[in-house]
Amino acid sequence: MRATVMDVVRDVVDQRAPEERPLVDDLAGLDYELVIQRVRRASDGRGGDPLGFGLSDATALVTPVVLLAVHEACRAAVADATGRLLSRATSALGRLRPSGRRQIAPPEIPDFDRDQLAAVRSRVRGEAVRRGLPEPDAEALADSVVAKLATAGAAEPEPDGTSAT
Amino acid sequence: MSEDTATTAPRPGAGAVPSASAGADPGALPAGTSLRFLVLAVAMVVATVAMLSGVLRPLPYKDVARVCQFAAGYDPGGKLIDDLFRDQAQDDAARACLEKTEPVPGWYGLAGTAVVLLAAGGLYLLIPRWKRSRPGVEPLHTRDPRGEVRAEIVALAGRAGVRSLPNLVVDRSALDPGAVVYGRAGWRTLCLNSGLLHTRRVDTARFEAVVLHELAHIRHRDVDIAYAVTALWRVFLTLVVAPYTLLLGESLVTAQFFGGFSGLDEVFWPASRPSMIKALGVAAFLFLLVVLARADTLRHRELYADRGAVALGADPGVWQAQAEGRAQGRLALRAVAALWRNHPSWSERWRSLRNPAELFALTSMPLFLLGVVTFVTGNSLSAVWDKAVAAWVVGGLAACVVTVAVWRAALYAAHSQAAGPRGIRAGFALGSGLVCGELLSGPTAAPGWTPEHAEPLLVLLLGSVAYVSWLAQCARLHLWAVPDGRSVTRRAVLAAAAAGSVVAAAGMYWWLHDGQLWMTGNFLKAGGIPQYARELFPGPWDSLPQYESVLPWIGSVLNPLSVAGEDLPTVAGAVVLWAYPALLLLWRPRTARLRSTALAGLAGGVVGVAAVAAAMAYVHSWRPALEERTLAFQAVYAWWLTVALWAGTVGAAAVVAATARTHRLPRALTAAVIAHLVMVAGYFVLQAADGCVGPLRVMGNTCHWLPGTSWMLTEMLIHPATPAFFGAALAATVMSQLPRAKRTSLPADTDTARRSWPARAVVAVAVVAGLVLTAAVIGPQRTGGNPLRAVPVRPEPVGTNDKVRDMQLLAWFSVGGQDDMGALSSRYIELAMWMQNLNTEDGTGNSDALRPVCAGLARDTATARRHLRVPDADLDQKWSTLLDRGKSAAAECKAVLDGSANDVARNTRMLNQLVAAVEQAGATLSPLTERVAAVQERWPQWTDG
Repeated sequence: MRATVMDVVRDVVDQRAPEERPLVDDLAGLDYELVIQRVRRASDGRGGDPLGFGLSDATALVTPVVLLAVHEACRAAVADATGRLLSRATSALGRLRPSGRRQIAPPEIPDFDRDQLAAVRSRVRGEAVRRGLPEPDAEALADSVVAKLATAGAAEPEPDGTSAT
Repeated sequence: MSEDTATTAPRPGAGAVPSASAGADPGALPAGTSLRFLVLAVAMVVATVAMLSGVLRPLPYKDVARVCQFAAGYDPGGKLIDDLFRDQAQDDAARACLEKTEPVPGWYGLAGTAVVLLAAGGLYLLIPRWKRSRPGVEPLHTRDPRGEVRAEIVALAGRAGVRSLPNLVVDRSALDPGAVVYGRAGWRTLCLNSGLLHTRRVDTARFEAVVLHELAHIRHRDVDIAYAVTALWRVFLTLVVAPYTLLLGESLVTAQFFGGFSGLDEVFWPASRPSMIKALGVAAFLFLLVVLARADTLRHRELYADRGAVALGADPGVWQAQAEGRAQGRLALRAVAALWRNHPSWSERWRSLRNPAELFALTSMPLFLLGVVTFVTGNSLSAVWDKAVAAWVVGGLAACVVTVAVWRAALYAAHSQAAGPRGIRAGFALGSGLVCGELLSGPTAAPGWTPEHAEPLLVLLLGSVAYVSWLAQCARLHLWAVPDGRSVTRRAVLAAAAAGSVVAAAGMYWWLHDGQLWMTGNFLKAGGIPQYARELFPGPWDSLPQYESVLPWIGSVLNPLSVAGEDLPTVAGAVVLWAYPALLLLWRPRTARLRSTALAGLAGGVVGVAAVAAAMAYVHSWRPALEERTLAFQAVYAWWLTVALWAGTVGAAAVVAATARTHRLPRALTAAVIAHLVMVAGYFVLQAADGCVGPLRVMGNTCHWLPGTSWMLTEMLIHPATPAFFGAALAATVMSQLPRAKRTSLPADTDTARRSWPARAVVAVAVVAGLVLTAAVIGPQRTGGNPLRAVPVRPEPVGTNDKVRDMQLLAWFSVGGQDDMGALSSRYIELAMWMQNLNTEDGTGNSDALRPVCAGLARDTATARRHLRVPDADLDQKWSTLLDRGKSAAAECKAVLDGSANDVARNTRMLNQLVAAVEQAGATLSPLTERVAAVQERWPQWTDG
């Protein structure tokens, strides 16, 4: 069995920002699509609740950076394999599902080629810097993500019982 | 008012106070956002009633009241003034037609509105439940088993003065370090993001800032109000705007592109196209208004919550870090996108914490939107309910919003020692909004795109400028007089709002009653008021130039001024216009330079009395003999006296406004009331002693002291003179824009205060006398009846569409024409048969057989005469001739049959008249029947219905 997106996120957070581990644990058991949707909206600065404090993506959190980067990389890799049109149609259909649907589990990590991993690295680094991480930390984070992705496709996740379902 | 929204002035730690501050605390006033929400709620409710009433009303061919209008000659594409007075011309017939109809049930709209409000109430209760049931939302104790976070929040709530702790939940799926409050009155929930709990461990200041911000929302009762408006807005959009737009849009598209019409809608096309598009425009405007105004108000609330949080000890550095960490997008795109957002940008939030000037600025856009929504709502409310109610409710509410905004700007200016708002630009914004609202929704802007006469709209624009300027200068006057350090009581703002509401209601009342009618043209002339004046005041109107030249002015100016001067809202507005600033000048401790105002008022009054004397001298110069001094003479005399009183009041205000250095408008109006009262007193004396001074003799030839007669005339004169204060305010607003006079000397305050008592006495006497005089002469309120009875014959409208002419004929046929035609046809057939049998010996041609025929003819002809005329010039001429001949033939017939002598000549004349009537019947009823039959083929459903 391949590692999932949440497995990679958890491993990277353990390695680079262990204090954020409770955040990742909180996401466990939640609908993966919902989590991605919420994190993406927060990252885009959209959809702030009235009377909320206001969305703030400019905080130095590692978890959303890694989660979005790995999710996008997986989606792009699958799209390259199946054709972008089909992937977009699948996504569009997914958005039309009724709310009372069953929960979606995090996808498994596909195999990445060199170019795809380079793109992921660039994205993680850029986003981390934008959120205020120091340059060396951003570099190290990007390297960790790439390393995990490179090995996750083949490796089994560690049975620590905290994997996202 | 949003009392809870008030916060204290920013504490120094926030770097938010202006460098030099003085005067009262600007944070003492409410933000006014609750009022803005209330305006939105009222706008939505009134629009709901209006839209649902429009959607749920019967189809045109089942709307018998509309059918009566068509029968009376209504043309959807014609001039409005023709329709206003066409009904008057056949008033009794039209009323009789309407009496037969059942009124359109108005409860449909009200019932629909009740359903909408119930649905909104239900949604208000459900929204927090939905939010609580979202995936990932859990009670706080599941993530805070030791209760540390809860304890911290309890401590912060105590600091924020939030007595009832909200429900505490955590959203596991939200990674950003924020929080949100939601709920309803009495049941609020504070939802902490999972990211915020993480932040608490690494950045306590940020956690505190976020929680204090949310607690400030709770303390300001933002949750209760914002979610109520949100619930109403969602239901309004779903149940009202969407169906209304779809129905109207479908009708418009079908008619425009496919030529399809429902019921008799065809007859309204294309005249109804502008009004349909305008109605869609109103719906679109309401949509945009609520979205933008709600977002704007929520952004305002956010800024206040930020200020509240910082005032409670939150670290401003949290905001600073956010503002500095943001990448800025393109300016134009950002500005447009910002209009829709519920949150202000971080830079705006940080800027507002450092310098809150923007929070207090009197900005144009909200006032423009307020102006539009005021008239859109006011016009709807006056259509579905009552004009006076619309004026007091909508005008009063709008006045409260404007007053709070003006006072906030004035207070902040006083606090930062800057020049206060003048209100000119804000007045133009408000006036422009009113003009747009009127063009969009006004009943007299129909049926075309623009009204027949747009000139009255200038009154709206200038009136708004004068109004906001008046409010602003009164606020400045009040604040100027407040000693440094003393806070402004909310009672002062409440008094200003009450005063502003009365003046605004007076203005709106006048506009809804008269102003809109002026947009159709000179409705008084069209309604026959000059003719009515001739009849009411008989005299040589056509033979003497002194009479003839002023008759139009009496009809079109003196008459409406007199009517307005008897209306309670107008009189109340005029009194408040001068009394409020006069009282402010009088009661404030620093009433410096009041003496010059009092002296100017007295001088203006003396000049005004001279003008009254001049008017008397002028009338004396051509006055006719005693027996010819009729009511017409008195009317002309009253006109010139009114001119003199207006000139004195307006002139005094203008001169004082132009020459005063400070508080020009309040001083001008105070001087105007002093001058006004001096003039009234002067006129009373001159009139009581009429006859004693040779060149001023008008009514009397010999010297007598007649105070009773003089009071009666004075009382009558005060009515048209009362609205002069509105003119005075306008003139003073214009003149106060002139450069200020240079100060020649600077008197010490103590000396001024010592010497000010005579001036105070003059102003105090003027205020008391003005109030007493007004109370003594105020008349009953205007009744709903229409005084326009002597409507002159109007030229036949040209260019009426054939389709409309056909519909008019069909409507006439349906509401009484068919019965009249049937009855008369029967009578004339009987008559023709009697004539045929005249020479036979079977007895059917004798006089006994003729008597019931003639009696029936007389009765049916009279009945037809009481009904509406045929709405077709040619056919009506024939029809009218038929009725005339029928009437005279029946009368002659009756006279002959009742007579005892067998007068051959008279019998012959009777027979000739009967023959002529029968011939006319043939010439009239045949073409009329053919026309009606042709028209019925066009609208078969009409015949069925």
